Amino acid sequence: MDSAVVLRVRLRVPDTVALSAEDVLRRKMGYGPRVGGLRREDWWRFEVETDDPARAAGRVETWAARCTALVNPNKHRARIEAVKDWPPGTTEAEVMILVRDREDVRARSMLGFLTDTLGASDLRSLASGTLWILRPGAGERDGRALAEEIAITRSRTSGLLANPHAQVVEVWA
Amino acid sequence: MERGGSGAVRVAVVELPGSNCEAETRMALLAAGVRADIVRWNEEPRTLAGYGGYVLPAGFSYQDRVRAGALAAKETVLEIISEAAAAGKPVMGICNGCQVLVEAGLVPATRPGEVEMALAPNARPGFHCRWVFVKHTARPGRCRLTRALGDGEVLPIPIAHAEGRFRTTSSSLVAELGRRDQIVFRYCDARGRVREDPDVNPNGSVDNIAGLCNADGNVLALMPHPERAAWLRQVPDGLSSPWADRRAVARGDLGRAEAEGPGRRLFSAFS
Repeated sequence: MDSAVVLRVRLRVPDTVALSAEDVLRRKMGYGPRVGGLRREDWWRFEVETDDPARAAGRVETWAARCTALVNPNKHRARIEAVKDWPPGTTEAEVMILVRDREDVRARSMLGFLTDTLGASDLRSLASGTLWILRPGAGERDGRALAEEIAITRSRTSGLLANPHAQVVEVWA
Repeated sequence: MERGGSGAVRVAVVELPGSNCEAETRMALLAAGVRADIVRWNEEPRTLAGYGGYVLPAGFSYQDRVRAGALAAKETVLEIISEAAAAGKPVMGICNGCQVLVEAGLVPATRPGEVEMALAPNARPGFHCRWVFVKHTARPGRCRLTRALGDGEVLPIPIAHAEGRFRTTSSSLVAELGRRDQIVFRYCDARGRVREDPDVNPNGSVDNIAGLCNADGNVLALMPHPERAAWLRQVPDGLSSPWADRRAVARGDLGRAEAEGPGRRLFSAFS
């Protein structure tokens, strides 16, 4: 039996990607104060060959400590969460938007590195994505609808965070 | 703003934050006899709108933040270019410029304004920088910017990208683009055979697509770099192509080496 673990990685320094996205949404796409804030994290989902979630988390911690492409302690903060707790409870003030590539070449490449170089033979599968954490502006009543609207790019003036022809989106509010 | 050139049409090479090929793109236009200025993206809209054509050069606009081309597509300059394209002015997007045009819905624009495709990460991960071959698969004259190219003409040309894989979730779009003759360039081998082989199709694009035009044929988005193939001296040794044979003959002769390269005719079409 396998156990799944999520690794969330965020920058300890200002995240220029998230700041740019927030600026474009507010100023160029007209959302203004409707977008209260936007953060971003790298998201990895590991499937480890063990029925012990604690052991799975330990294995992921070991790999993350040895691979700066996953977690670079000079600039990242990371946390590991058991998948049974995923998605974690969102606060009323936040909406989570997970954007994943339809063809996850990033995870495929990382899986190859972890198994070939670090001997992670118990790593069954790996998926990656970008987790956006949206704080809707005060007075915004439907955070989920706002998140879906800004996430899925349908035209030049509509949507930003994902191109649905290459990416899939999940929203938790 | 830089000004120069002597042709009748003035073309704006639009420098976005992070563009890095605007100078050589302008040089290629000038060599093709086209008046061209490098114009910053935040120039006065009236100034931008006054140009007779536009090139979005290669580079990394906004550092590829969020997704290649995604942030630039929201800029006011793309609204101006969109209006210019609707009015029939020629527009070309090269590499990152191609990504911007697709993210802005200017190409393929079978449903104007909608984003119908994506430039996804290469099927073989990583940044691929090498010469490839493309075949002109649209009928001559279908695309205004390739009107100087022959039917089925094969061009050696460089690529340099990590996200160059045309794809769509539509089950019918690619066939529709084929029917409408909007697939201007397809990746091929040196003999012009369009094959689904990673050495031929370097990024895994659907139907080997390397370049598309819009329905009216005045907007061209292509991932390869014609500005890096505008002079014969830029063609490398060892390519299996008549262009390389010409380049070999020109070796050591600056006059001959300055002759037209395989990509220049895309720029001369602006004149």
